[in-house]
Amino acid sequence: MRRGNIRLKKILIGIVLTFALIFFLFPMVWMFLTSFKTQAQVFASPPVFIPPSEQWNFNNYTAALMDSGALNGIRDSMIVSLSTAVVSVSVGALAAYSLARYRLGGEHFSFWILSTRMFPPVASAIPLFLIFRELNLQDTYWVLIVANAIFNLPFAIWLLKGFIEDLPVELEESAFIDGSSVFGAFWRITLPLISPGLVTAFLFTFVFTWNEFLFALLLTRRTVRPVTVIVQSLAGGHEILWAQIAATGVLAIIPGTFLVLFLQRYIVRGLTMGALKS
Amino acid sequence: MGRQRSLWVTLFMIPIMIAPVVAGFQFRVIFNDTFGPLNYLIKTLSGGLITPPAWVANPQTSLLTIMITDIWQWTPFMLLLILAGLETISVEVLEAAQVDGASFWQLLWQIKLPLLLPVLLIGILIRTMDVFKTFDLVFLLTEGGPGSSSETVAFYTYVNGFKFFSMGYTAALAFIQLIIITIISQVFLRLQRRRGALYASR
Repeated sequence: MRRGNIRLKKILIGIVLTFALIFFLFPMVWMFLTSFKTQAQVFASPPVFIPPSEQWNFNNYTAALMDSGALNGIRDSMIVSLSTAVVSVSVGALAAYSLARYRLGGEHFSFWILSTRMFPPVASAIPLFLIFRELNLQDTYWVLIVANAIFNLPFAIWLLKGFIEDLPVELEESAFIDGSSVFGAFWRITLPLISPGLVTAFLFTFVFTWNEFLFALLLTRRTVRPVTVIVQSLAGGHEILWAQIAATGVLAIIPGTFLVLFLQRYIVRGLTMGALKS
Repeated sequence: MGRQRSLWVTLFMIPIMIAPVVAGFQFRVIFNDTFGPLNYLIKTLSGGLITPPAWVANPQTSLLTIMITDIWQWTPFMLLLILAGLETISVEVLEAAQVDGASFWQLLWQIKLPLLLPVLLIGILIRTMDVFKTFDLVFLLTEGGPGSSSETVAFYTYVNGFKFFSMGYTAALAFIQLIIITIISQVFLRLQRRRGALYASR
C-alpha cells in the first residue's frame, strides 16, 4: 500500500514535470521546426507542425547566412562578446581582489559598484550615444565592447569577489612570508584557485553580451551588426521571411544553450550576484 | 536522483540563456493570429467555441503577450532559485517537525515557506528590477503598439530619445527611472548585506 503510494507520487511528479518541460521547450522546438519550413508551410492553416521529412533541407540556413548577413552578424557578435568577456574578467578579477582583500573604498564603494548593475541601460544609452558620437567611435567594435563592459563589470566583480572571499587569507599570507609580492601571490595563488569563478564570469559575460540588444541597436549602424540586430531587422521589415529568421534565431541561441551545460553549477550564484550560492 | 535531476535542471534552464530578441520572435510566431499554433490549438481544442484574441495586434492583450513571454523565459530562474533555497533548509529542522507530527501542508506552509522567504524576496527584487528594463521583448513583439498599449517605460524612453530626439525630456525620464530603481535596489542591497543568512550550504 505504502510502496504503491510512493510509486504513484513519482508518476504524478513525472507527469507534472513533463508538462512543464513541454511548455518551456515548445517555443524553441517550434522555432527549430519553422526553420525547416517553406514560406507556404509557414503560412499554412491549419499549421504544419512537422514538415514532411523528405522536404527537410538547409535552404533557410544558407539563405540566412549568405543573403541576410547572419554570418557577419555571428562574426560581429563573437568579436564583441569575446572582447567584452576578456575585459570584464581581467579587470573584474583585479577589482574583486582589492575589494575582497583590502576593503578598498569600504563597504559603500562595493555596493555602489553593484548598484550600477541595476541601472536601466536605456537611461544611460543617451549619454553614451552622445559621448561616442563626440569621440567619432560610433559603429565600431569599440563602442559595443566599452558599453557592454560597463554593464558587465559590476557583475564580474561581485561574482569574483564572492569566490575570492571563500578562499582562506592564510594561503596568500604564507606566500608573503615566503617572500612573494602582492601581485605574485595574486597571480600564483589566488587566480588558479578561483579558476572556476573566472570561467563562470567569462561565460556569463559572454552570453549576456551575445544576447544584448539595446546597445547593439542604438550604437551601431552598418559596419557592425551583431546577430540580435539582424534578427530584429529581419522581423521588422515589410515582407517577413519567418523561416529565415527562425534559422537565424536557431543559430543565435546555440552559444547560450551550450553554455547552460557548463554554467549549471553556478547559475543561481551568478544570476543573483552571489546573494545565493548553490 | 542525482544524474536524472541534473538533466531536468539543464533542460529547464535553456530559456534563461537565450537572447530576449529571439524569445520575442518565437512568441511572435506562436501568438500570430492567422498561422500561429496557439490560436489553432485553442480553436480545435474548444471545438470552435472560443474565439481567441489576436494577441499581439489587440490592444487589450498586447501587454499580456509580453508578460507571458517574460514569464516563460524567467520562471526557470525562479525554479532554480527556490530549489537552491530548499536545499539550504537543514534536514534536522524538517525531521524535528515531522517527529512533532506536522502534516505535509503544515511542513510546507509553516516551516519551508517562512524559511524560504528571504530567497523569494531576493528573487522578486531581482526580477522586478530586470522587468523594469524590459525593452527587447517589446521591440520584437509589439513595438509598443497597437497605439501605446504595450509601451513599457524603457520603450517609451527609447521612443522619446531616439525617435523624437527630445533629449531633455528623455533625460528627465531617465532620472525618474533611476530614482525608482534606486529605491528597489536599496531593499535588495540591504538584504544582500545580511547575506550570511542566505548562504546556501555547498
